[in-house]
Amino acid sequence: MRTIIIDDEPLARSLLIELLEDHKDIEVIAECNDGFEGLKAIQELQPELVFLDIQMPKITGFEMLELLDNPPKVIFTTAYDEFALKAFEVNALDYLLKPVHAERLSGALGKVRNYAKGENQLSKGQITSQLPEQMQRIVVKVNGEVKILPLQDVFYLEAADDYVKIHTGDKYYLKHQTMSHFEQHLPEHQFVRIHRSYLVNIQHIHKVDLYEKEQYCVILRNDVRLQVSRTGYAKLKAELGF
Amino acid sequence: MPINVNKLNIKLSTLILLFTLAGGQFLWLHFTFHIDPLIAGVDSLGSYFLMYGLVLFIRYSPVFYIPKYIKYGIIEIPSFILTMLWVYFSKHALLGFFDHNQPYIDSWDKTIIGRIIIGWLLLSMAIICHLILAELKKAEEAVKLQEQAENLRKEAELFKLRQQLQPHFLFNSLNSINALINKQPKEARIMVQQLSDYLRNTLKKEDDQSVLLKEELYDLQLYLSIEKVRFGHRLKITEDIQENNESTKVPPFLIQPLVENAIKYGLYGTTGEVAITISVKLYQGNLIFKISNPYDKDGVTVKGTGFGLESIKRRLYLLFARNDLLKIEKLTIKPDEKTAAVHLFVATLVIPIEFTKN
Repeated sequence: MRTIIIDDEPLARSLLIELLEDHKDIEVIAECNDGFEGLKAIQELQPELVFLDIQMPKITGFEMLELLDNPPKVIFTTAYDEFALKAFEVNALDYLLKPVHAERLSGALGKVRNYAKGENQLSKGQITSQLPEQMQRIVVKVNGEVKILPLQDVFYLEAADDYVKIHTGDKYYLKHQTMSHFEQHLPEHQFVRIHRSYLVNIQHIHKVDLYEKEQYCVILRNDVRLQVSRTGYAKLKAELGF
Repeated sequence: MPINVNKLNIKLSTLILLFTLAGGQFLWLHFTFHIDPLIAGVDSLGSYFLMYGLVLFIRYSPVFYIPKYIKYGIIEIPSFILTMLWVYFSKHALLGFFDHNQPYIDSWDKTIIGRIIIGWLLLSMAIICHLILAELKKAEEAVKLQEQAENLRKEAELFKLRQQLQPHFLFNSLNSINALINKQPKEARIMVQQLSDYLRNTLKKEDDQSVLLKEELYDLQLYLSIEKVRFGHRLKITEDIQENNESTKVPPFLIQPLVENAIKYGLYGTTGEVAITISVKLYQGNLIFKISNPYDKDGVTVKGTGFGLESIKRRLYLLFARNDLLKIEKLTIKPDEKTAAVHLFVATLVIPIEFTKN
């Protein structure tokens, strides 16, 4: 099985490689120092299995995974990320706690082999939707480059079929994700779902206007107008307190 | 041990006692003074109903929440005053009802001493019971408070322990040792030594006891050598230590978290080489500790960063009552046109040495 190891500590990678020597069906084809290298290697080499660390420079293992359209099978390796353990149990094929034990590794690989026989494919939604932590930034990919958007730069999000358009002041970015995912994980007092298609950052609202009988719209600081639904208006009212 | 007082039991017993006394008074008035049974009944029930009101007043009135003159004075004085009130009011109310019945009016003169004695005894007892119950309640609350304080203390201690152990650092270091054991056993042994020394020293430190600067710097060395094993390919540490006084003392948990913060920011905020510079010098009775690390200008901080600096500030305030001892700067250095600009995060810590001698 073609495998990539992504971890920012060289010794952690060499330990995994050493332990993997006992498993002849696993072939390590690349080692990566961070999420950026990992992203590139996964796209170029199309591995079947990835060992993925979580805390890494600039973007986390989770964020890297979010950027992949067809994520490979993943085994997380982590030292002490209490926040993530629950998510692992539900979503990843398995997770290994550092220091990595040889027996636990064998167990995890057993799961991978069984999984390979089955027909189920690990879908992207499964990996991300159970994360209990709140988003503090949005990671997007622009022409193969990874870009990190701070939340205060995001004006609003717009539904676009299977994608979500993330609008900053002057441009937008596409991300393969659902609106409800963002609604769940963005800070609820900052981002309000004003319409089936819009999730707006209330910090960028210039004013709320009546534009038809009982029909409201918000005008953002960059003069964009967005339609507000009836329930959206109630939420907006509660959040802005008018 | 929690103290349980059955409140319903006390109320019921009081009622039974008062009913019994009312019955006694009825018999007394009816048979000794030949009062009409209706009047005798109304008299006894009425006066003990009033008595019950007074008992409730003692129990629940804020005046009786153990004022000093009751706690330290003679209980019989307030109870006597209340008795006089009781007799006065029941007399006036009852005589108002039955002002045509001469035997009843006459009986009041003959029974008044008896009524006063009974009332006085009852009300004295009521006040004594109230005092005992109030004391019990106070004791119960004290026990609860003590339990809460104990829980808080335990939590704080656990938190401190976890801070000292830094599980993330510890488990990652163990993982590195695990990796070294087979191929570089000597390095593995050195790292075990360093890690155990570091942990031992950290656990030994107490919040409120200053430590020798040279020991603090030695621990820092241990910490840095471990981090170098983990991230040696990226970490470049430059040190400039100009303070060699053997007896200089500093409070613990100031320098260490600052270094951890710099390393964390540098390692996780940027990719590529992380150049960290540390300088220590003495200036006008202050120890100046300066550390700088590169950071990502466009990066967005991940949860958890920044908390370290806040807690250092808080700690400095608790130690020295000053808010100006930790300075944070963000610098951009661009040596010439060709080289890319470097963004530096510089933290300067000032420790007033004269205050930490002991």
